[in-house]
Amino acid sequence: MIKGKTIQYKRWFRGFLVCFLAPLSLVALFNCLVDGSGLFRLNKGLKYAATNLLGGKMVAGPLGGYDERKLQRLIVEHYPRTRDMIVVGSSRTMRLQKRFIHGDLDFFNHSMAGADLEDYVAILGLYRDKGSLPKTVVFSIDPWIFNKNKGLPQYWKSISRYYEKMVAEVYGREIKVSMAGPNKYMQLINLDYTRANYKYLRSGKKLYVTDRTDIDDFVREPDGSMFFPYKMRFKKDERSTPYSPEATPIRHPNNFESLSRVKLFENFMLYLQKKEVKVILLLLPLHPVAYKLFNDNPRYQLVLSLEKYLRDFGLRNHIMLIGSYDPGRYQLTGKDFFDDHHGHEIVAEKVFAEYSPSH
Amino acid sequence: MLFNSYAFIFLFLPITLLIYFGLNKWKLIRASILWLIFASLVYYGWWNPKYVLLIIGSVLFNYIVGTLLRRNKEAGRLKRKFLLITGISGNLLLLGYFKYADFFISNFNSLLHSQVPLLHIALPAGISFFTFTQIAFLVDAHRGEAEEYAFPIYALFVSFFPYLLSGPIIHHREVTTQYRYLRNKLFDYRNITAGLYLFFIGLFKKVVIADSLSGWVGNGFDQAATLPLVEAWVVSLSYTLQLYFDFSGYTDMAIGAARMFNINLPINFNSPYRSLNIQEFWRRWHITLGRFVRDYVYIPLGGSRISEVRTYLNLMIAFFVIGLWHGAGWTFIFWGCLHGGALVIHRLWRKLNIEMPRFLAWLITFNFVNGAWIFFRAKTFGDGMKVLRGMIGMNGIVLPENLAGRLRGLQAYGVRFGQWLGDIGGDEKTILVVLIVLLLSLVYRNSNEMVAHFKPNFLHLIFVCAAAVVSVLYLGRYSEFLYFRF
Repeated sequence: MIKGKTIQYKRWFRGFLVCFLAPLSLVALFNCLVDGSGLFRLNKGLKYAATNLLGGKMVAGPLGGYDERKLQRLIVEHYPRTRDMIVVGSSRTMRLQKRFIHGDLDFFNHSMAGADLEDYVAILGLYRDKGSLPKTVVFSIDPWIFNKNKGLPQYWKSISRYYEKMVAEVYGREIKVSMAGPNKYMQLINLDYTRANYKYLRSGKKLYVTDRTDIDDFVREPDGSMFFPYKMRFKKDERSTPYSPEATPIRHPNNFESLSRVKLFENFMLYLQKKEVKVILLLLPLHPVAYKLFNDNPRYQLVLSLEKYLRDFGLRNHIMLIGSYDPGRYQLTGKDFFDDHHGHEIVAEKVFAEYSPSH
Repeated sequence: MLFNSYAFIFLFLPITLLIYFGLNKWKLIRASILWLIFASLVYYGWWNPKYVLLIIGSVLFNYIVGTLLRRNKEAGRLKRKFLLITGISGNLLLLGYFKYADFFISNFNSLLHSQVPLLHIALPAGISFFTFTQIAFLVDAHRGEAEEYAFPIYALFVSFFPYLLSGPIIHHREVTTQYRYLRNKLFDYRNITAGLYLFFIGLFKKVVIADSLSGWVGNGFDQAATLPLVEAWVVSLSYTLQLYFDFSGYTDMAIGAARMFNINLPINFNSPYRSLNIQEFWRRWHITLGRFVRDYVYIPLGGSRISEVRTYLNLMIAFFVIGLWHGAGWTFIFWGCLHGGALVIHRLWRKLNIEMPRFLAWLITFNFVNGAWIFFRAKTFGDGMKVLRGMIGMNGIVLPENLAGRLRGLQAYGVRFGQWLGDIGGDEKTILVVLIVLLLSLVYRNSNEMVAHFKPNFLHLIFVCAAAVVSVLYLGRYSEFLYFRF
């Protein structure tokens, strides 16, 4: 009787292993085959985008679904000359175009969604690996890159090799940073990646070359700057009105209790200076309501005090700083932003009006 | 390491199980115990290996003091008392340094307007749990109620990974016998299957249910500047449910994992939100913590065997301890005192011998618990008051824009129409989700009941496999266990 019961439990256990592992294996196989973001092999779409951007064409399509870091890698690797100026920043800097910079410079904007300090290091690591650092680097500093608790996905891990190389270069010795972990392979059984691949497969939408920017797709220009889809930029619903304090979420400064990774930031900047790279720190204004919330709430004082820290750091080390988190300084209103976070191109344009390469 | 991580589910747990039962199969019983201790230390040191030394030091210290207490049974009362006080002080000093130092310094600074710098010490995971279990052991050793354990058994009792980080808070007598019982060394399909069943129910509760609520909670408490009525209720209810599904899910995983090693752990939750009074709530919520505080704080203070006033005072002290145990902050202490006060009121009410209708009793209890959790979650009293003000309508009512046509008359009463639930990141489905989860917590069988009804049949196989597959697919999302920080 007891033996019979044991056999029943044994069978159930075996059934469990099969029923648990079989669907997960199928999901993994599906994600591996579709691999819409090109996580496991170089995506044809990325190659197509890089080739056309380097060829001076605009590329449109579901760019947000691709691994942007890998696209940046291809662009750096396949560009034959030394850049005069590059911009490294988050999605807030994506609208920064070559035409805002005075003078005919060999310019590229490497802004990536959710960019973090590690991304900044890794992008320069790509250039260092290629053997030619740009002459000028504009780092667009979002306050939350110094917040270790922001809880953003670590997108930079897909180019972590270059981060490791650059950090080793900055500190003059090999530094083993075990961050390239198994996360990539865990995407095989990740619901979000499965959904993204399913959407990718269903939409059948691919990247394409375009000469228009008034379309409902992400459009990347040959200078690296990016247009968000038309509907996002010009919303017709109630969100197009300036945000009210009640409806403005305070992103990433969540649990911003102390400035972290300041040492890496400073050492990295000083390293670039030593290599005769001109460093410019760029502070893009925040949405007026978000700025007011930061200003009014003592909990977020650290966010705004960061500006003072950066100015002091710049002064001490002869590093140019342009812009300010304060939108009032540029007479910006809520209408100059298309959401609580991202500004229209006028934001970057107004800030860069005060920049001259001869400074 | 987290239970809800790929590393734990696909590597750590299967490898630990295989080697443990492999060693036992070869009759290497002692080696299997040492293996479990080693595996538990790997588990503990996964994030920060240097804290492994901390737990090893703590285990050695308490084992030595406990052994001295037992071996000096005949020694003078004073000497034994001294040993006990030394042992308890050592534990409390460790806890005080890692958990409460900055709290005391910041209060000291604000009282005396001084500027003593904060220490910013990272809290070692599970320190509150393994400190409490060992204090209980020392007190029992002093009372002569703890037997002499071999060091590996004692070390395993403190460090066994399923309960090391977030409980249940184990009493030494509950597990030490099980560690020594030879029959427990055999691979038992019955326990493996029941353990898997419970583990994946817990994982589902954590990653699918609790984590789905966490976005609204985070936005509401930490980000939104003000909360209108509906949003405030959604935020507070979401947190109440998130905490339950998060912590009880963790406990289910802990009990399930231990069960796979043929170790039965005590239950920690028994559908607490069904409680009809606050006393019942504490018999159903974090049962092992309540038991610890009752046995080692409340009863030694005299419990309810003394005057009424002293009994009430003892209750308040016990709940002050519970509040402080949860975190180094005044909001936690306030939360503990709220519950202590509620228990005093409950005792007074009972004296009146008035029977309250069941639904009303449930409604009052649930709303009190829900309201008190606000201060448990809030980082500051200001954040707590923000949610509370919203719940009583002081920030107005916002209804969906599309109802403006039909309910325009309500504008005269201050009702606004606009972006509904948007400031907490919710949408039209949010309220439905919260209501379904609330119903689950109230009406559906809890995991203890589910595992009691577990049979190795097809239906249970499909049910648990679906839960397991969905949960594993959800693992990629950022999440942490709420109780890790206590």
